[in-house]
Amino acid sequence: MLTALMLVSGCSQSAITDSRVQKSVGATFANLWVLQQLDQGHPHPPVDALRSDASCHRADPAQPAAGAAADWVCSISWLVDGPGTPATALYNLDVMPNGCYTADGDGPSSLNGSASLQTESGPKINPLFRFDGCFDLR
Amino acid sequence: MAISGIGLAKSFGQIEAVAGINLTVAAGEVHGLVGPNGAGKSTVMAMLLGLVEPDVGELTVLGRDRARVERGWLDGVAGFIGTPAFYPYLSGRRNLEHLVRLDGTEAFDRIDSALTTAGIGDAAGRKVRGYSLGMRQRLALAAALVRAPEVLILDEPANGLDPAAARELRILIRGLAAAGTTVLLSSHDMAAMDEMCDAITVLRSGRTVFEGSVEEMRTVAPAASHLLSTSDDEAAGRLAAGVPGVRVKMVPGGLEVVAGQPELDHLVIGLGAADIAVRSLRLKRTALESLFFRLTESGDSVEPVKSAIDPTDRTGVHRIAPLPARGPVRSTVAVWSGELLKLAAHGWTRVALGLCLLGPFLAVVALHAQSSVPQDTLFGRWVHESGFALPLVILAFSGQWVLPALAALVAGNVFAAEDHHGTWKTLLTRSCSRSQIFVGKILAAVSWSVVVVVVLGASSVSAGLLMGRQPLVDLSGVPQPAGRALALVALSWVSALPPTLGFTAVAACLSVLFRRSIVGIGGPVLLGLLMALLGLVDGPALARLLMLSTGFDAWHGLWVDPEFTGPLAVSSAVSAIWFVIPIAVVYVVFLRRPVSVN
Repeated sequence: MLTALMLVSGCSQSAITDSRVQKSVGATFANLWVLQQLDQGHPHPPVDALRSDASCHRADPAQPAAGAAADWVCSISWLVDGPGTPATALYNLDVMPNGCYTADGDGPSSLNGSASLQTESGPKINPLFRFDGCFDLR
Repeated sequence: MAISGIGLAKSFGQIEAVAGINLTVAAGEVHGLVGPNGAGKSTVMAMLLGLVEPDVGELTVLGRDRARVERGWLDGVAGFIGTPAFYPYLSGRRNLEHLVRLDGTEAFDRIDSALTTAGIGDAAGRKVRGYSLGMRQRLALAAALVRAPEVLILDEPANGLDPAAARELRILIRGLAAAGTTVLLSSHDMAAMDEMCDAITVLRSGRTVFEGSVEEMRTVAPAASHLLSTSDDEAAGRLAAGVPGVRVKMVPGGLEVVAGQPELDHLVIGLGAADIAVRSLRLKRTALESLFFRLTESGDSVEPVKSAIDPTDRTGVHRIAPLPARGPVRSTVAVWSGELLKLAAHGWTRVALGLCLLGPFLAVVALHAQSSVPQDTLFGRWVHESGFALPLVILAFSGQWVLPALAALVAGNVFAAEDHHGTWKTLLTRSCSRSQIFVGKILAAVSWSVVVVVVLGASSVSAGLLMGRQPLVDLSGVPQPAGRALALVALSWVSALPPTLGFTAVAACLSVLFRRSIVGIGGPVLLGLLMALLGLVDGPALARLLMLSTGFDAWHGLWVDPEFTGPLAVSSAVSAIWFVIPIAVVYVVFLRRPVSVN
């Protein structure tokens, strides 16, 4: 039965699609960006006002934008402080078959280049350096 | 009539163990069942104890017809068969307490007297693994006596007993019979059978070759055989040859004399008159032994003596009303609680529970001792920021193989251990049906699995709280306050129960099918690892969802905003399938499989 499952698993279409990855990564990033601003004592707009948007694809252009792989690349854009203040961040994603992923920051370094943040209360984990997320496969 | 068997037959594959045996045992009688190895004695006794179903024939015990009685066949019946087997890690007394519990009686106060009567009272507190064969025989006798049986079935009860103990046993058996207990026993000690029994049934190759009272047997038995040693064996031989009714032959050490008691007396007097001194005269073979060898070895035949009571005549059958049957629920609970007590007696269950209890706290110490965090696990990077991350990290790790292994530790052993110890025949001759034993054991395995998940989960949460109660950032990047985080952690651990119970069923299934703990325990662990490996292969959701191990990831959706609980429902359904199908299959197998009576 397991062999059959393996064969079926290997031959059929993946439930991991670029739209699911993008939706999850964009939303999670926005929440974590707000968290980072809070940790640093910076003012920030509400999450909804960020209008975060992620564009994700496989690093290998020959691969379809789907499936579990460690070569997903996402470009996330958002509005830092209202219209006319766009910003962009890059992340490399390792997407697992169970719909969870680890997003590893790839710039800008001021945003996601350091594992920790200096805050008034001392060093804290930088939530944007590397983060995990999950999405529904159905 | 206490026991009536008519035309009993049983085959095991091509081997015909019993081929039409008639057996009639009157109430209060001591009845010997004799025959060479393989004659069918143990099979007949196994039929009486409900361990073996006759293929054909009619069997009635205490007025109850085997074919019509569904429950309570063993009410009023006790005994043992083959080499007695008990749980070696329990004391003699604890073994008896377990068996009394299975009987569902309030006979705990009879345990001491049964142990004393059987002559094992002094050693009752010792673990059975240190018992000699004779001590096990005594414990088996005590286990039978504690049921206060009307019919006692003993398969070679004097095995391993020293001569003094064997004599005590004979006195005890006669005493039980005098008090009204019907005793059916087998033995190779023909002299002892001659001394103890009121009636004898001799079996050969699965057939009855003699059945009757000891007195009737003596009328057809050949003369006893003696070894005679004299001051002049040659002269004694010549003299004996001339005595009517005496057969004599030279053997190493003297003469073998076959003669009835009057002829033997006459010979001894004659030797004295001829100035030949008799130095020793020893009984070599009793009349019963002579008959036994004649019937079972030489192929000789005697006219079988018919029983004084026609077994087909039911007019004189004294029907004893069956004892009140216990409810199946109570019996199942008795098995379940007995299994839990057995688990508690095992050192390895205490070690496993101890590790579940202390492991998370050791993880806290290890995390404090190093600056790095388990980044490759969900929530691993938050372990120093929030105490709620630790139980989730442990949950993610445990799902890979720890929970399947912990579940299999008991479920994979719960049936196979009985095979290993040879205790099925002990267990199945108490007042519990096979289905009740099956359900009770499954319940015990399920209970264990629930306990380890609860203990490990609670311990993980407690250890995590030592690290702080700060909000935990969920998988959507939203900090969850302490109260909600705690509730989500608890729910996440609860979600591990269905797949753990699925692995419990797989382990129990392997335990029944292969009868080996190593397969029952190792199989589910390997299966879990294999599924985890397959889980690394990307594919359609259906293939993933059908795998039991996928259920260990179902909690992820609780930590996403908006949360998705579909995987939890699917995990529960898939785990139920993995639970029900193996259990249903092995239930049928378990009910039908034969029990070793050796």
